[in-house]
Amino acid sequence: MDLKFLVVDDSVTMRRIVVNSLKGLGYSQFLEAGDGKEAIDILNADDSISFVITDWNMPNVSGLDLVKSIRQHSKYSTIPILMVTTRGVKDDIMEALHAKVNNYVIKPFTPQILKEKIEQILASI
Amino acid sequence: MSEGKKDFEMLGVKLRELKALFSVGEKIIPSIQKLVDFINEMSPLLVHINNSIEESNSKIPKATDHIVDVTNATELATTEILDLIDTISSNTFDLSNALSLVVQDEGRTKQTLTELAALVSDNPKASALVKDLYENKTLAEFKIKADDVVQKIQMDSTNIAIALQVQDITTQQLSAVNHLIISVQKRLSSLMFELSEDQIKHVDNSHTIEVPTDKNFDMNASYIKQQSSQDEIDIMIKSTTSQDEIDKLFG
Repeated sequence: MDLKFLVVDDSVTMRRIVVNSLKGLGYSQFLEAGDGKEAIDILNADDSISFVITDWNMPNVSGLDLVKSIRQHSKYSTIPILMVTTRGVKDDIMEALHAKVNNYVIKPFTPQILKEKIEQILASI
Repeated sequence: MSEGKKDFEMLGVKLRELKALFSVGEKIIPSIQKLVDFINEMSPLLVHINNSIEESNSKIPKATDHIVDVTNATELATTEILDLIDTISSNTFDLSNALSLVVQDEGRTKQTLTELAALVSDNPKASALVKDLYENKTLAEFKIKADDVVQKIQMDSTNIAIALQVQDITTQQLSAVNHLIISVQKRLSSLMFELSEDQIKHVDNSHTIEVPTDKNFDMNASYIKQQSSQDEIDIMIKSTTSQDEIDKLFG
């Protein structure tokens, strides 16, 4: 099954790198959002999104708040979420896990790491 | 005791107090004089400090503008590099497809040569020539080498794209620096106001700074291209045995 990804990052460069990496892994369906607020709007409008990849530090609504919003919303609370961020300290990771992200990737990442994490998440749900 | 005598005694007490006060005054007047001299000497220095603060304060908006310009320029340059990477990937993909077609054509050529070999089987010289043509491996060898080069180009393109993540990381670092500069400017402004309320009117406010209401950057963002960082995180995630255990940490 081809997954439909929602890639959330305030950096245009990062969104493009993530999408290009996903294309290289064989995926073909993507939507993009520049912050958590935009992502929530897209999730409300599109039922077919099957995977969220989000940054942490973003304006308006942060990645962490986006994760919390997704988990609280009955419509899409079970959607897999991979956080891709520069924040690598233990407290941050624990906070993200507490918010119920499925996995965590530190920037800079390689397409191989992205592939591994997506596969791990899909295998665990 | 009569009222008049009481008054005289009180007057005597007050005069003695006044005398004591003059004695103290005589002793502290030199100190007060020194303090006044010191303040007089310090005044130009304070004015100079105030002017320096004012000057620095007026330059800060330009510094923050420059940082924003640098961020925008690097993002633009990164986008252009990514465009070029996409073009290179597309071109190498086309090249690989073109080579596959050439190899397919070679297959058809060999089929023709096989048929030709059957037709000239009674002519040893012609058979030998057909055999030479059939065994010519140039195209196949070239295809293997070309595929190898295409693969290397694609790998290099991927590595360049990975390296471009540094743009996002430096943007966060620059945002953190900007945040600090703006904080310093706010402090300087309040300091100037404390030093001289009149002076603040002379500050160049032509550049308005929008102080970020929330931090959307990681002050500790760093470009560490090491597998070990991700490994440490993976270990940390694996070591947290359950969601309940994590939730307990957050009360």
